[in-house]
Amino acid sequence: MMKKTIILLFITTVFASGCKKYLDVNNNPNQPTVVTPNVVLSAGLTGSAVAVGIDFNAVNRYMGFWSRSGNYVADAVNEQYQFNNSMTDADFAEEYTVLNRYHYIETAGTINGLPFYVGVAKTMEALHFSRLVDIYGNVPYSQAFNPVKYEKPKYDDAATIYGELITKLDSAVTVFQAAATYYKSAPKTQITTDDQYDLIFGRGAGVAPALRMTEWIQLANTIKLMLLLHEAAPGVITDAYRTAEIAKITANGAGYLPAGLSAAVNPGYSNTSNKQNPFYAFFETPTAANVALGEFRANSYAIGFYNMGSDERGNFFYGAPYTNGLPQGNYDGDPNSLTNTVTSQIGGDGDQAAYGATLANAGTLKSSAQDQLIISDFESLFIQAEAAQRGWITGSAATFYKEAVEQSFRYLNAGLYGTGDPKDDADDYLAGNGNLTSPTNTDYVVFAGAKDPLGVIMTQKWASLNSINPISVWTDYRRTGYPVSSILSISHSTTHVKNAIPTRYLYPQSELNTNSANVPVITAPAQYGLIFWDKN
Amino acid sequence: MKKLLLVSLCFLMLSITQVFAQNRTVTGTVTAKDDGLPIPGVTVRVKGSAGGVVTNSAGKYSITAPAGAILQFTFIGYNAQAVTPKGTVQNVALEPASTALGEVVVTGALGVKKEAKELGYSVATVSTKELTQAKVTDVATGLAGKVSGLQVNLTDNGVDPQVRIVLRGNRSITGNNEPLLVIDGVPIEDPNYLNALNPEDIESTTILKGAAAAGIYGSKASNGVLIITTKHGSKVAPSITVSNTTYLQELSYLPKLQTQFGGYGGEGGSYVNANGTVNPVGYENEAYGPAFDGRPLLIALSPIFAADGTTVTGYDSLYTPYSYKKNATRDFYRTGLQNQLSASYSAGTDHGTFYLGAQDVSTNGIVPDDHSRRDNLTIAGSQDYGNFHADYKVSYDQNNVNTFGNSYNQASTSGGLGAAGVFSGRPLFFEVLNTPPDIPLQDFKDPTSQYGNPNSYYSAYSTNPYWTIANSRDKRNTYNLLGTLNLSYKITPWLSVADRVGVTQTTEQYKYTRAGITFAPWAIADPQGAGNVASSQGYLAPAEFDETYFEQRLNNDFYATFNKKFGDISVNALAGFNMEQSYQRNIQLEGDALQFPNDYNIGSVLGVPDYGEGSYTQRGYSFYEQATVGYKDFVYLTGTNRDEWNSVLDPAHNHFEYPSVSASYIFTNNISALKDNKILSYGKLTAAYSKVANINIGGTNGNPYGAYSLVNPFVPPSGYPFGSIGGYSQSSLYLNPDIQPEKTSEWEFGTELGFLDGRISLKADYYQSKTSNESLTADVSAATGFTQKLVNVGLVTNTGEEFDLNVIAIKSRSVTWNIGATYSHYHNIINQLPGGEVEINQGFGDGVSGGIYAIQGQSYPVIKTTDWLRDPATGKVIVDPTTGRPTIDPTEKVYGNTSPTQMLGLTSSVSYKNFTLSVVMDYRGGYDVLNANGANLNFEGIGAQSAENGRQRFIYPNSVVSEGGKYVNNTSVAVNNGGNIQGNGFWPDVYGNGIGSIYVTSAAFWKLREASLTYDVPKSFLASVPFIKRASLSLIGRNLLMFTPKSNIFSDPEFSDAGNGNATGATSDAQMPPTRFYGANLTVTF
Repeated sequence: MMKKTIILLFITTVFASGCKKYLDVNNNPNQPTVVTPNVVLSAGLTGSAVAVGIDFNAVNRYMGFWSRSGNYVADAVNEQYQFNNSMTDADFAEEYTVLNRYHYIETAGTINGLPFYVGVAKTMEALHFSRLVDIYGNVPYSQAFNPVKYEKPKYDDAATIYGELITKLDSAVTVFQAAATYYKSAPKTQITTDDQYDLIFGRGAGVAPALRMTEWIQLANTIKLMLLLHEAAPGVITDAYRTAEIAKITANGAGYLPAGLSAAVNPGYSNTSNKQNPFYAFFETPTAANVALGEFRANSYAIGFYNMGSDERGNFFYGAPYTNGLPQGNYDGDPNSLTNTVTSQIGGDGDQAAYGATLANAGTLKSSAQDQLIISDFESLFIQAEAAQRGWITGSAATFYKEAVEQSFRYLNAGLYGTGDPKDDADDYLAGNGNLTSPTNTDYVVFAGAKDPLGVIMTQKWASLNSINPISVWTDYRRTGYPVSSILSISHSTTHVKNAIPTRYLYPQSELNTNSANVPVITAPAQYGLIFWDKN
Repeated sequence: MKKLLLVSLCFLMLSITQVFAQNRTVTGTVTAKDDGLPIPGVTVRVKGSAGGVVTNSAGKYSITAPAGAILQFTFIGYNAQAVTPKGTVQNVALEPASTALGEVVVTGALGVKKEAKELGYSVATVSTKELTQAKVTDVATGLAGKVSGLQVNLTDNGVDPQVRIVLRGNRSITGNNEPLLVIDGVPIEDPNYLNALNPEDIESTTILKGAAAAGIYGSKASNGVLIITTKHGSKVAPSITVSNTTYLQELSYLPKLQTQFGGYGGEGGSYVNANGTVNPVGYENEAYGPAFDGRPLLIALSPIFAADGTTVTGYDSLYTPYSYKKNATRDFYRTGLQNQLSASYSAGTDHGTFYLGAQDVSTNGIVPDDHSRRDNLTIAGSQDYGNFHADYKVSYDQNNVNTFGNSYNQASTSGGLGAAGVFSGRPLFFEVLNTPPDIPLQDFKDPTSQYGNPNSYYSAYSTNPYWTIANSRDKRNTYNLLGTLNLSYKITPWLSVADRVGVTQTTEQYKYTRAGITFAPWAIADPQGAGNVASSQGYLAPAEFDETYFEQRLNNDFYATFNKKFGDISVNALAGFNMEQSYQRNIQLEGDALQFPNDYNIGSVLGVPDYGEGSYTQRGYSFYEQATVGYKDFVYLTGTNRDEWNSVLDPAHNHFEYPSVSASYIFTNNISALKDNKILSYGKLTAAYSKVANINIGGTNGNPYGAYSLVNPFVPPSGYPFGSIGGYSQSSLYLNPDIQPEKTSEWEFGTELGFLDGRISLKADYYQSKTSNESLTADVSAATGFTQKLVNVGLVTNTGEEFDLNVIAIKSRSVTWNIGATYSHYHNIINQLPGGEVEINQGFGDGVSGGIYAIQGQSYPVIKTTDWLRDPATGKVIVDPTTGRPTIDPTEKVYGNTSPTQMLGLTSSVSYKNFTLSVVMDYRGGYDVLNANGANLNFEGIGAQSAENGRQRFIYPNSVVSEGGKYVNNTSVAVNNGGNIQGNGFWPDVYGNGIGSIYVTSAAFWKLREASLTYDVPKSFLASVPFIKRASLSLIGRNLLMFTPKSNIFSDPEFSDAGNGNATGATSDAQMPPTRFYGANLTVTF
């Protein structure tokens, strides 16, 4: 017994000192546990690209852009508007996942004194939270991103969140202004690094920091003006508040995203698995055409509008097969939907041979390496056109409108007709001459002397953002009522929950499972509940 | 006194005279009756005389004895025998002693041997003979049905199947539930390592069922322990044993398939003729065509080219009679052939032993081209030198498996390592099953032939399975090295110290390759207008995936044992110190577009390959103590404790203790009235209580050992890095620095009774364990920025009773009949689970909704899936008043638990003269399984169910319709479209479309697992070949019969989609169909 005790004592003495060290092998060698904000910024921006590019893509169906193909079975959820809670689980989570990256950037950027990162984080947070509010109304905001303290974050009032986002954008502008000063004394390596990870305005190294900061301020201003427009309906916010907020934008002097400057992300997309542009990847894989091209087909609503004004863009939003040189689609939910042998796929480059044109980089599916638009210049111009039309900002609504449509044509490289310069085709179209045949109706094309100028702007915005930013279009539709029902109406399914396009998504099932006490109850049918700015 | 002395002297003189007068020398060999091998060291003595001789290493003896004297032969472990030699040669065969129940020696924790009566907890032993009687290649499968409380599942079928082993059910929801495997005292975490052992090398197998028995092994043993002791040679005459087993493997069961209808998918109106009935479509894989009528049916096209070799001028057409091609699907499978050749050499002297074992197992599976080869070499031995003892073992095993991979299909995509990448095709079994009964599948055997090639293959939507076999290969080479060294020194007769080192190393080289296909332009043009794979895919790039994996485990135990008697009190104690380390590293590379076909090298990847690396280290150390105090021979008290420190937890929580106490009371040795009772010859009562903990975050963190689960990492999102631009994001799982081990406390009570001098023995045990602190990834609100969080929650209770009955039914000179029965009843419930439920698997296969869940208040695991909307009053299915079809209730419901609540094992061994017939049967019941491939069979119209009503309209059985707001029995509304006219058929749209409840069946089964008939060649036969000591010939079979309830027409309920994971209870066409083995064995000992 004595010997045993001695042996044990010996072992204990020898090992006790070394033991702590012996166990010190739990440091993760596979993944970093601390990273600098720059690498999170690139991840944040590509995350935003995915979210804007393909999340909530069923909205393309409600907005008359996409329809189901006759080769696929009916989808009651989207065609009969039988919304359920689980349909947006993944998209809801994705928004917060991306926001969590910006949240980290904002925190780490503030601690490390890197104003540029703080500014980008605030700007992108405003964009994503406004999307969430526009889709769901009240959402977790003030208690988000704190899994320790707030495992079940409360839902904040949607209008309050909007107000805070507007303030956040102001503060983003201030930070960008500070960043411009910061870069004057920053080491070159810092500038180069920040350039490289700024996948929107960095455009590779070499952009002068001051210019870059101005461009970010322009994006922040554009988003802010967009949010104020979302609140345009009477009684949502006071005129005084609006005027004061717009005055702040005007005061910073940077203006809005101009023609030729889109906020678009490109980390170096290429035709490799997981490295393709997300919208492109939704339809095609590097080695084979994907079935998603077969699953969704052109929607007759949008085609009807393009044909009515003889708008060649229809041939760029939609691809082969064409019928008599024009895209052919289905009304979503139509029980007699045509099969894929006759209906156009999503994304086209015109029926170029038929028009003797050779247009590279055309349409919405240009290549696997294309930029992913976050807010395009034409969207910015439409925003400015609407604000000018409402008399909120100076400048001519007609000019903004014209530029917007021209930039839309340019984005698609739609130049089948005429000289091959898309701008000329746009101008012809805007003049009511049409591109391909004789237009039958130009009520929502020609701005000069239009009976309903706001309707013209909003309808063209809808027609330009086809497949590009369906959420933005859906929000516009809900708050303004454009496009009118003669242009866009409900799916052609035989039955609907209600004969109207849904006005919101239901809260995700994942939230009901994990945070049910806080999830607001929306009166059934919840898909027809109204977001706070929806006074229509 | 004087007189007495004189008489004695006289007697003595007499005997001396006799000795002098008639002494002669008797020689002979002493062998063991059970195996015929010579026994050295047997004491041979003339009855009544002192002294004697001992047999030599060849079992031979030579003794001088008077004529008519009785020779006595005694040896430990064998019944003594007394013989009067007739001549000068007397051979003797000793019979092994049937030890009294309490005296069976059991190898317990750390290799310490104890007598069974000392143990206060349940321990089972399986003899090597029983284990290997059916010549299993994986020892785990040889345990099925033989031990109560032990559930062994063959989770798949193929040339290298996985096995799941569970003792006393599941305690952990997402963590590991498999027992710890200990080989020669060295813990090896993964019980699948058993497959790297040559079963012939095993000397004994002990199963420690409960936590009390296992606690001293620490956290890894909270699910029980399988202790395997391997042969180290023995101190007997050198012997060589050569054994050859040849097995044929044959497909035993396929799901029930229909034989009346051929291809028609139902997509378009053109396939419906003027009468509104359908025309068969040759290129369809869905079998919804009209009934067979023998007409010639065009099934495939092959182009005729113009002189330029590219312009298609017309087509050759392949016709087949529209009739049932018998067994076309079944005949896809061939008869597999397995050959096991083993040889071993065993020798020993008084000071040491030596063992050499080798085995070669070569298997050709039932799928053409499937083969595997396992080679194993073991060298082991021991040496004694005074008080010093050493034993060692080195074992090398290599297993080369070459099997089929996945197919391609219309939606094959790429991207991401492993399952998400080039593996995304369909399983082979799906492609085979998915063959309409009129298709002569055998005609497409050559995937380069005119109609076997991908362009011309009959089915427009699926892959020729023969193409998959030839072009999609999965090659896994595993190399295992196991080394142990045990040194001990006896300081005093009652105190020894020992050190045991063990190392296991596994290296795995894995390569998956899939050929590319450049579909011909004419096939892409889709001449039949089918929307075929060629037109959807166009081009499928050659792809490959490489993985190199290395794992090393080091273990060292330094311990002292103490063994002493103090009067009536015996003390048996042990104290030790353990250090262990596990290390794993893997590198994965994947390219889904290669430059050249057939050049499967990662260097030939176009673009950037996907790649990944992981390396993990875990360490721990522990102090442990155990003491057994016995009083006389009827009460034994044992206490153990282990203090463990582990690197994967935060220093604030990384130390925990495992105490246990157990007691054993042998009342037949205590109560004098029961002593030497012939009816109740042995009786023991036991009780034990223990607390163990289990670091079980490996399964939840997706990380072996659960390392690095305290600090949140940043991970590159999909696609990163883009060139020189890196990107990092938080992961979706929020880790938790406060995470603690799962804690189990267990009570166990038992009794062991022997009747009729051990002819009948019965063991019964009851246990209840409570496991708290389940380590789970709980879903959290996505608004936290994370979707899951690592937490400690919940409480799971397992209770069960186990019975083991052994009866020696007949024991006569020529006939011996042993019968064994094991019965276990098991019940498990999740008492608490905040959040209510956790999904364990990733949903079911074949589009069936739901999943395997852990749900509060339910047994674990359970099936949760969709059912029809039912009339709440009657429970009858509600059908639509116009279509006659039921509707899926979107709220998923809980169906049965998927762990058997009852298990029965029956073993029987009858010997008659030289013949021995052994069988093992087992039953499992009280649980359910979801057979997801049922949905596929109905969707495709291949399954028998889909043809039950002859594809006619029928009234959904036991249904109700709504009539004036009330549900009334449906007697008139038949389902519309009983086939699949215009793509709107009942079977594909309703039965084959997501509904799960109709594919849940009882998972009960009876199996005849093993049967062997052995003929021991009589000694007389072998007399002419004296170098052969023993020979036997056996006919053997495995999995010969399976009986399942009528409702289960699908597969073997033992299979599992989850492999050896916890989410048992779901099968799909990802598993191969069940097979049976039959063959013969010849064993010769030299």
